[in-house]
Amino acid sequence: MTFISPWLAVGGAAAMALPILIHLFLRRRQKPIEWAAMELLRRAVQQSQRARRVERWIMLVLRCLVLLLVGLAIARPATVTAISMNQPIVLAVVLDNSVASRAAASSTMPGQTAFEAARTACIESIRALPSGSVVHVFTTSGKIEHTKEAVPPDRAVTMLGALEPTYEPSRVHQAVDRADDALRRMTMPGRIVLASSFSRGAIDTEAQVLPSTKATLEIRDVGSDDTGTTAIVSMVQRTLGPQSQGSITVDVAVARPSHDQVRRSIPVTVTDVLTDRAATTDATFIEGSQQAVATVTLAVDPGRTEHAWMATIPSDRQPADDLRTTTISTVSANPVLVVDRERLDIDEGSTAQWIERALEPVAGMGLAHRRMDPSDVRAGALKGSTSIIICRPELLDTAAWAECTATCESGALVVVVPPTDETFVEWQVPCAALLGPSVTIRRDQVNHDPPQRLRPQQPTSPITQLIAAELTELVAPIEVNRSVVIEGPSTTVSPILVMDDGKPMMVLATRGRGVVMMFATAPVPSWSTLATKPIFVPLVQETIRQGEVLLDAGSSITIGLGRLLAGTTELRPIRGSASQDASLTVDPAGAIVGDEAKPSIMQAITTQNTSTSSSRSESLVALNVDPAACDPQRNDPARLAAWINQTVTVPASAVTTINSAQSSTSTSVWLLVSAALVILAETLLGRTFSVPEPKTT
Amino acid sequence: MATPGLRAEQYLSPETLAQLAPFELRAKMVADGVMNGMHQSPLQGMAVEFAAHRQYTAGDSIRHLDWKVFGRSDKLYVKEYRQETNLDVMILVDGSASMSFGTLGVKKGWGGTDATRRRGAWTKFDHATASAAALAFLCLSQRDRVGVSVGADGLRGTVRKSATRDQWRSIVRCLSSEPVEARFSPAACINQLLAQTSHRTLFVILSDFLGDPEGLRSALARLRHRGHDAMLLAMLDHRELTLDLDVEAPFVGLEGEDALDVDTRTIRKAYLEELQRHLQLIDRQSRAFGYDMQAFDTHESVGPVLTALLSRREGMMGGGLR
Repeated sequence: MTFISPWLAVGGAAAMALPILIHLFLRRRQKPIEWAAMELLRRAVQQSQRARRVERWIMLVLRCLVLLLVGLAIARPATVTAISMNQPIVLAVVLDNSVASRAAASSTMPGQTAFEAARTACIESIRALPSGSVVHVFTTSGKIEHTKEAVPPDRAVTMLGALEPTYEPSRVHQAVDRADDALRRMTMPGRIVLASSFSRGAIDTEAQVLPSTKATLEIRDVGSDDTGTTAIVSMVQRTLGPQSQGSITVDVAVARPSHDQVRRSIPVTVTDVLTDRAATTDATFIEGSQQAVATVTLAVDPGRTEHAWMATIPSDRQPADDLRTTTISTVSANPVLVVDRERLDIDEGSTAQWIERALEPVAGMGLAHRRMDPSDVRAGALKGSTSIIICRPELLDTAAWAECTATCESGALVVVVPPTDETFVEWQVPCAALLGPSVTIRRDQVNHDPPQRLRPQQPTSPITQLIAAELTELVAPIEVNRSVVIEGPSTTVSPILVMDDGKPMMVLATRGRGVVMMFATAPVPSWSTLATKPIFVPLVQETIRQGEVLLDAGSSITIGLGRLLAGTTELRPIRGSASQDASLTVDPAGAIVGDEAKPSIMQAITTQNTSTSSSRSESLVALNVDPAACDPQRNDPARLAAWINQTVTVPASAVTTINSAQSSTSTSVWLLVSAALVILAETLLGRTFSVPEPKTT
Repeated sequence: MATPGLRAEQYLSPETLAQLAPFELRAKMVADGVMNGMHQSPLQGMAVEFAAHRQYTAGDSIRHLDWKVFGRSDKLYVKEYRQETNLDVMILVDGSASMSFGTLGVKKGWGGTDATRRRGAWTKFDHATASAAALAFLCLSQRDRVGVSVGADGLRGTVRKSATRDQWRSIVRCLSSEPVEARFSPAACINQLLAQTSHRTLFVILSDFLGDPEGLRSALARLRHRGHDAMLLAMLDHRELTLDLDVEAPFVGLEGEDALDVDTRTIRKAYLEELQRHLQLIDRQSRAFGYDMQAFDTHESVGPVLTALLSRREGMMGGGLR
């Protein structure tokens, strides 16, 4: 016999002393009473006090007993019963196959995950069943009920062997509930075996309530005592120009669960899932900090334009589900289209030449690009282009502008650079129209003497987010001699770079599903020193990369971190078996519809939109499971004990058999009924013992 | 006299009496109440000479023949007369320590004996003295000779019987004493009183009679032997009669008895049985000698009980205290 709340039982036992103390206290407080008829009193005492004293002690004992019984009832007794080895029973095994069960099991089961250890524990319980017993199999995640009818033990073992841990949160409440229902249908005595790591991910002691069950509940705890698990919070790729050619630098932010005062380093591995290239670096937590960043540099194949990154913490204690896989932007399969006319400009080079040099600083490394003459921009000519840089806007006619606008609206990035040559063509009007309504571009160029510089503090922009830390330093040497003035409401155009006089040097606007960016100055020496300064290469590359990310049909989708396509997307795993084909539904707000978190690197096959000229054939997505569902930390023992409605400490790798909540409830009810009966008996006895009101003589 | 229209009992409650400081006033109130309460059988004629007629028998003195009856009926009847003497009443009040017991609270400024003031309660002694004074007043108002004694282990104060005008003051002075720290010995007191008594006397003994019944029986036997009459008025406090206490506490005797740990809830029944048994024993003893006994609840009015006692006695004896 044990108690759900033994302290209450102790309290009940201690409360027994209360009537005695009250009795003694009241007795001590009584003052002597003067009395005349002492002889009569003495005779009465001789007659009855002895018997009355016995009765009084009986009453005192009954009162103490009431308190004890109430205390015991509140303490909820539970009987520790030995597993019967003779009587056939119905065993319902509830196996924790939630995402948290992918964590390592306790140190007594080295090399095993919690799932494997729990499965082993379930099989042990099944093997120990007396002959004639039958088994139900339940899991806490995914498909909960695996047996419609009770099956023989051997078959149950086979079924358990075929089970795999899921990537879904634990639904232990429903699982035990179902097991309970299944046992109720049976006539044989039932027992439930709940095998779990009892980690916070497996059992949420705050939210889940263990259902009442008439069966005996056997707890098999296979969890580890490790609480130092670290999780990956985010992963960001640096793209900083030529130095990133041939290698990629990725910042992986990791967090640990508490502000430990311990300096600790944990290894972080970043893997290119397409090539399996990996690199590992330590992330070091300083004392008292909860977050650390590991900067991992990874060699990449310059020939490849697609990459998918996965960050992992290669720790034994790390649950597999917590490999916070995140896809960084992938390079578009389509080359950047530079619209300019071929010409020989010996003095300073054309805008297109400077930009192409920035796109591909070293031959074969960087962003692929293709030159197109403005006269070739006709309807359908831009189909398949993701990024278009218009260097000679004055050469585009109305049809060409219409094609650019259509392409942009269907999901393309259009970058416009002002013409460097004097022209009488009013390119400003269609260009302003492309940027958006109420946007104007002044016809006259503005000459700056002395040259304008850029403000040290530049506005925050998604285009410059990755170089934001060095932006002040990078913009400092830029001098602008000549520029055009772009004006428009802040709701339409947002500045990316701003000059000292407050005029924008680069603006961003959205158009349909596309993005339009425009430089106010040309990257040629006669207009500005932009093209010759260190900022130019990263700025041009980030303009293309981040611009594409901003597109609705961008080439990178990062679930949980980035924007998602609305609608249903077919998913195809990059790694793993083909049977994992799945789909993903995203609502217009960008949230995943339903419980469809699928933890693997998947290739998303986006729907081809044949009505427009755009085409986005493939994207890479990384799908994370709910971080809350994969918390491998141990539950607080007290909370866990309260959760399972008993205070028997659940030791690691131990088998504890306790009566279920309802069993203990029934015992408690019986105790309360007993207490009520004792109170009744006391009342009746008290009435019997009491002297009726005397009548006046 | 009582105010017309008001029931005398209203004036006879212990609370009322306690507020009446002078004994005289208190006694008058009780006496008036008794008179009013007995208006169906008034005490007038208590001292008439003629008693009854009876047929003449040989040997009777012809001096007492009623000739008028003989003239009318031609039959011989003899008139019988009662001896026309004053009633001698001796009131003995128990002044022992146990009489200082009382649980009926009185307020500051009320009258009463020293015991009342000292204990802040209407004691059995107060009730006894109030009753004694009322009886004495009745007797004096009927020109009977009355005396009062306050006694415990012996007589502590005595006013000899008299019917003079000054007798009332002497009685009041005597009753104004307070209980002493001694036990009541009826035998000793009666012995002392008998030594001073020559005529036939009605002894009225007011006590709680909580002492040894054998001593009382001995005293009553001596009174019977001398041909005296007696009335026993048992003064008992309401709490003594009911033990309406729910305590477990040490009880200390007023007459030096050892303390006794008592749980009143557990012994109440037995106590009440013992009390009943004791009072019945006293009653049996008194009746065995032809005497009357009446228990008084000190929380009840004096008048009605006194009236009931006197009415009963009149029925038994043929009138009043006689």
